[in-house]
Amino acid sequence: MIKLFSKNIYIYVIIFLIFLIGIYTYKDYGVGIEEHFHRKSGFYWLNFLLNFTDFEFIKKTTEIKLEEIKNFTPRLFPIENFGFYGILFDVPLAFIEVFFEINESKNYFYLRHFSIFMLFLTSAFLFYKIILFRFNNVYLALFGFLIFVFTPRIYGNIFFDNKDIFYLSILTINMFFFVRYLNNKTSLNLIFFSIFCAFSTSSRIIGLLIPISFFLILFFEYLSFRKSNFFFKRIFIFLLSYLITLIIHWPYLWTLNIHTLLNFFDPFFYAMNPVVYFNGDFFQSKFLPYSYLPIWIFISTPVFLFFLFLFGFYSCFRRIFFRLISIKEDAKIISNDLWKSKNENFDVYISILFLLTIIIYFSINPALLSGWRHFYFLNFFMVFFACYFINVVYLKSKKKPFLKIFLFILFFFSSFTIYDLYKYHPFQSVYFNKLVSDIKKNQFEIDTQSLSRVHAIKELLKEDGELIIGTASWTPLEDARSMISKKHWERLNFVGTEFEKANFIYSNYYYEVNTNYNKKYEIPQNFSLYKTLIIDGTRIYSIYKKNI
Amino acid sequence: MKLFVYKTLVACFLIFVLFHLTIGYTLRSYENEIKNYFSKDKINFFKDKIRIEIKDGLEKERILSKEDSILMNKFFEKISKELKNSK
Repeated sequence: MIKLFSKNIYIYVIIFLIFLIGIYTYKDYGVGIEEHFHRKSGFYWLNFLLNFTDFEFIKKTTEIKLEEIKNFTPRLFPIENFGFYGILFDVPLAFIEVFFEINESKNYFYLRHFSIFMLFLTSAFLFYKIILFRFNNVYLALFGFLIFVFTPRIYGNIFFDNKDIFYLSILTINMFFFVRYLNNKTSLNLIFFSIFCAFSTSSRIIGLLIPISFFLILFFEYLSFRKSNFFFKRIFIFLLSYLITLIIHWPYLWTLNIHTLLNFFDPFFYAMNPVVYFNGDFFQSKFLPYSYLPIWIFISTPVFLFFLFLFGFYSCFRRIFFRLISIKEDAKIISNDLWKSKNENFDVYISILFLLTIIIYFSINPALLSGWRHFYFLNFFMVFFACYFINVVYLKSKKKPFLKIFLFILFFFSSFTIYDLYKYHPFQSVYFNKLVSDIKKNQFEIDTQSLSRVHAIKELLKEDGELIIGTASWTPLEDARSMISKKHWERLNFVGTEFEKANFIYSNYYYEVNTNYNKKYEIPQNFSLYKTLIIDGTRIYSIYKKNI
Repeated sequence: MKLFVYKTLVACFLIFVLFHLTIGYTLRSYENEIKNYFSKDKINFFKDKIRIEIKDGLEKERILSKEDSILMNKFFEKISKELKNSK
């Protein structure tokens, strides 16, 4: 009985509750803007892999599916030109779809949504384990777990985003294996860690920073202890298993020739360079201001989490800085090194990884769009540093009234965030925090994932007769049919920007052009507002109807 | 050796931060301003604007007012005379 109510059981209860919420709500979300592309990518690479086998039936079905995708979404980019995306999520899902003969479009997208949700939940559990290892405090680990899952923009994406959330999940699992390696430096743990490093690299090229940071840690260790054998053995085992895994699971690498190998990184930095609406101004996505990422993170993260992260980041770096300035040349004195314990070793590793990410952001000037979703993996670092700060406060103010006040404030703000999640449902992915005024919210791109298109079509289907719908935004509205019952397809006629043919126009105010100068998405004067969805002052989409 | 490595790494990091806070930031601001100022949409907008103005001009009975045409005629005649005399 005592065991049953042990505090270690809380996490399982919470996970079960989140699982129930997920099961109950995952069908509320629309289809993400990149899902069709990734589904196609899955079938493309499945077909590629099946060419090495004799599974004729699966091969034939895969080819039929590819043909169907080509006909249904002819505007999708050819995978041959964008083959560098990892296949870890897409190919298994394509295989399941073929193997279990899932042919209803709604169902295979639901399957994708449920799968990414489950993967994220697994990674969140491992995040709990990481925090528990690092701070040895169950309640802090539970709190960390909850804010890791319930950061609104992250939570809003865990039901459909098979790219950014997938990378966040893989990175978290990767970090868990690093913790395991730190705990027990066996070759087996090193191999597990390197395998997940390879998975991270194929999921996102920025994942390359994980092994680079690891090499730095190994190098620092070598500087202190001068164990050449240990150092080179670790490097050798890591590199061998990393490269083997990378080559085996990433068929894109098999297609490279000398020329493409020499320019290996070029495709990853290819950008369409659409116009990005940011802070009331239009920018080309290749030429965004430095402030793009910091401002996005600041306005779309709960205020308390943002400040906890900043203070935690400061506290952690302060500690590392003091370690750094007290390093002595003498290799024997362990207390004068960059870290004193496994916990500090982990802090140094996380800090190096985080710093390298920031350095990359500022130095290569990546083309960004859709808010900061390409950097959603930073949620791992934000929540980690937030927990770090809470731990600092806890250690410094044990048994003092200040601690109670601090915990009350945390509880208060967390409750607000949970309420926001409820209020925004199912559009948590467009969340802005309380510091952003309603006017300011409209100076940023909102529904960049085009989730609202399914919602809008369902609204329009309440009307009678044929629906001729125009699109006044950079959203492939017709792809929303994937989540609409086939019996309604006949009534839906999509005419893009040929507004003169339309009787309804949909817009989620997401553009790839500067609308001050390019008027292709301007709503004609013979249309008037029919419906608009506004949540917490955030305008998500509107439908305009032709005046009779 | 150990101290040298750490000092080098810290120095590199500080140089990186300093560079991006000063030169990098200024360069990027100017680059962004120029690139964004001459965006495709703006150029196309002004091209269309010129086209529309020319079309409108052609549709009018006169492009210039009588006084302007006399003034410009005199101006061009004077210029051409000066150019001829320069030989």
